[in-house]
Amino acid sequence: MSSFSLSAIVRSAFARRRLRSIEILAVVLFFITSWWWLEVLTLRPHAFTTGGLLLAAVVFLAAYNLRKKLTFLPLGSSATWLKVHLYVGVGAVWLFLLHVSFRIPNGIFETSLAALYLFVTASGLHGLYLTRTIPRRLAALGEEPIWERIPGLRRQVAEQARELVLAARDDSSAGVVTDIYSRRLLRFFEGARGWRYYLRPTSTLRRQLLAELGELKRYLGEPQQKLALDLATLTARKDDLDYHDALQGWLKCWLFAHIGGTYALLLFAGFHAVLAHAFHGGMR
Amino acid sequence: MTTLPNFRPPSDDFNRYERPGSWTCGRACEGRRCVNGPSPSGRCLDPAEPCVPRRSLRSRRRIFVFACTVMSLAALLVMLSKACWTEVFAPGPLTLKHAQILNKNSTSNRCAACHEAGDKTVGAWALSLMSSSPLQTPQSTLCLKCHEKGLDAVHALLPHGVSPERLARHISGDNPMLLLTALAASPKNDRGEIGCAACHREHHGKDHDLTAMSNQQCQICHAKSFDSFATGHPVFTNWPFEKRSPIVFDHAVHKGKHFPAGKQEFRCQTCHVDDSRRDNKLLASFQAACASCHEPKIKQSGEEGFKLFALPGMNVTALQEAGLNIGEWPEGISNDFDGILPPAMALLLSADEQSAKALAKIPRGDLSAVDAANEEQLAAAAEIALASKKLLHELATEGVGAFSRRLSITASSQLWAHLPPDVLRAAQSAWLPTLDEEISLIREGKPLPMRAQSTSAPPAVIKEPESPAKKPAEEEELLVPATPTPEKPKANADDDLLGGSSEPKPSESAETATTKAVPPNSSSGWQRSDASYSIAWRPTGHGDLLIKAWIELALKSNLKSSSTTTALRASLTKPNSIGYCAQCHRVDGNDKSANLTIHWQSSSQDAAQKSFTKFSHRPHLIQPQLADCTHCHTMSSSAAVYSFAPLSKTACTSCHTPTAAGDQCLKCHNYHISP
Repeated sequence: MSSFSLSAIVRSAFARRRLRSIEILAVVLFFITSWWWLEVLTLRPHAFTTGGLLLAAVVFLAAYNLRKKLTFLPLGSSATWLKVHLYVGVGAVWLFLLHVSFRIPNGIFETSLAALYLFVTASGLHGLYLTRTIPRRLAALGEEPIWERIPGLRRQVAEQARELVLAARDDSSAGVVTDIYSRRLLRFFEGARGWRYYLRPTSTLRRQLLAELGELKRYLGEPQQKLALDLATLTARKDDLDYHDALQGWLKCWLFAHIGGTYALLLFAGFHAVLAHAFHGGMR
Repeated sequence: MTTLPNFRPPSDDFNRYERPGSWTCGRACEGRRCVNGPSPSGRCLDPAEPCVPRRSLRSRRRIFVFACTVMSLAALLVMLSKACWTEVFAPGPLTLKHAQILNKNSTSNRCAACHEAGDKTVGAWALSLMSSSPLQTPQSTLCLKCHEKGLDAVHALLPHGVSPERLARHISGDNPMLLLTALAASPKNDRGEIGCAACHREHHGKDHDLTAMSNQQCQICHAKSFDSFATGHPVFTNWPFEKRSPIVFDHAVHKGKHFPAGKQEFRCQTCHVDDSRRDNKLLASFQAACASCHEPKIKQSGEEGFKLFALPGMNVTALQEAGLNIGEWPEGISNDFDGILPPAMALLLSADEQSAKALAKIPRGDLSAVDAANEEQLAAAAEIALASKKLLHELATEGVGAFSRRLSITASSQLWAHLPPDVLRAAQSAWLPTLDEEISLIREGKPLPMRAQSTSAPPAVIKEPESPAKKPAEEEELLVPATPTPEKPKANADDDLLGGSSEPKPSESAETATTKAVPPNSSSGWQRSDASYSIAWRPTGHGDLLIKAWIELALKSNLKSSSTTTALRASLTKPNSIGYCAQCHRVDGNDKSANLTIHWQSSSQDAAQKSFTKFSHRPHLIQPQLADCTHCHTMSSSAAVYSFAPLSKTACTSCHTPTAAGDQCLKCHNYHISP
């Protein structure tokens, strides 16, 4: 079977599973919405129903982190948990909108709670986007350095570049190359990329440096051209490492916001439930 | 160039670098790595060249999450401080009115005004999750502390704030929505009560309308649901005439006949005036609207006065021949059984059981029907005569006390309008001078002295004294100069009440000649007539308090004798009765034995009272085309009672659409109904 047809089958199977999961989610949300509408019409305290469901969803979503720590328990595969985590997370957004009756909360605590929830949700959705796009971008580079080893690999590249330049020190005709190394490439190899690069990695600097090295070609003899080529290769490699560092960093660090916000959200949401129950109006 | 190593490390290092523990080797950034890595406590295990281990990303994330949790907890504790927790945890600003009222409360207990939990601790809040024991008072109870005015204290939390029985009168049919709503359960508790917060949701800002309800929410409980006011809303059947007007007034006859006859313009605004807010139309006062035509006739109807006491005519001879001795009896009424006992007097007499039995034997209280050959009737007549004397003596000696005792009512009543005892004593002295002695004899059980029979033939007609000026002083005390009394008009529903009748028929009859005719402007008050041996009250005119009190007494059912009650009721409420009260003031109740009610005021509904429907004239009359009352209120010849056709729904739906005047349920209907 050709790889094309195999991948097509795999994609088709995945698409069918995803479609089925979306259908299930849609049906569940439809029933919840219908119940909410019914409670609104009948003057029931609908916020308690949606609030209870939302709190349960948030607790379930937070339990995924716990599941990843308790690998020895037969709780289902992490992949399944992740899939359910995603769908429950998306469904919880609709639950939230029903809970606040599509209005912006207007108390200090409740506004903070809503902002916290939206922050956690946004970070989760952003993380979903990152985990779906970054690996593909990284795979396009061909190689996959381990994130923790990237500093060491960077140092190796910098050392290699330094050795090359030192070796050509005595060649007066290579002065142009060594000059561009000391002016432009030394800082590139030895220093760290700016925070803007880590925010949004681009290949602008890489192209600039390679272009500068390429322009020197007509002024160089053959040995100097090889030096320039080696430096260009190392420049590209160093840029790849930086690219990996930035994107893998995103993949690892977005969880700081997501998990950090989750525990704060659990605390605030739990207190909100206590407050709502204690200060509930009506008849009891 | 040196070959660069592949990015992916050899497999034996893979796990250590793929999933580092809490610490990583300090030389990792140099490309050098230890064989074992740092210890779990972060100590380098290489004794030869120890490095400075660094925390792994996972460890740093763990610390970061812990810090976030601790900071959140600290933030919560700060928010719970007494200084600011009410402001922080309030789910939103209060509506303006509540905020203004609660603003004077201290910050710490502002929440407690409406939430019992406002006075409790955080621990009590948490416990309330498990059980309701720490929190006993429903919030609705706290709401009613301020909002109890205007609501029924017993039924305030029931649907519409009315009793189930009253609500049941407005419920009919099945509501298909009820099946669905049953799935969601009702907002009512097991006692059928609905909490205030079910509809009134606070903390939505100062401009939030606490009373806003959607039409769908209103229709959840209602028998018939419909799409809109124009589509499906029940048609008006007899609105606004379901509640009858307290004043009976035939608009058609007045407009078509009386006003033209009086050459007066029939204008709605003459009688229907605005209240202070121009919401409702009130009836103008009697003086302003009716007196010019009706007052003279009302006064005229009272010319003969309301007789409280009158000695009936007795055939003393026949009684004596039958062995019945009634003692002294006025000469002028001793020759024949005559006269109808005034109903008020019959009521006073019926307080005594024996007298009541005697009255029952006289048909309609008319002594002229007594058959002299009928011993039973003779005995009854004698009993009535004696009872009348006793009554006169009691009234003359006890005064108000006799009224109270006989009628079983309080002494401070308008029923006798400060009847001077002197009037009664003077009457006793004039008519029955020896009554005191006779009463003593009766009390002692001794026989009364026989009255000597008159030898002269009784006069055929009791003549009126020739000149009013020659009357005895006692008789003239309360009387005014006599003038001929016009014949009493026929008992027509409307003509009776008109003053200055266009067809006066003055004439004198034998009966009226014995009473004193009084001109229309004669003074009111008690009067004694020696000609008819009666004491009567001449009413002041419209609104006479004594007549009013006697009518109310007559309409009560807790009186001893139903026949006397019926007679009194009939005398005061028949079409040509004194004052013509019942011709305009509606009497409720058809059963003659039941407790009847008469409506004295023109509006039986307090402006503050809320019923199921509400209507304000003010916004409607602003429009020029609606300023003419007949635009909505059209006279109908087929209308049996009020001469106006009921309002139709189409008159309202033309303007009350969703995009125009609005068609919400609460625009025309109230939820909270006054008790």
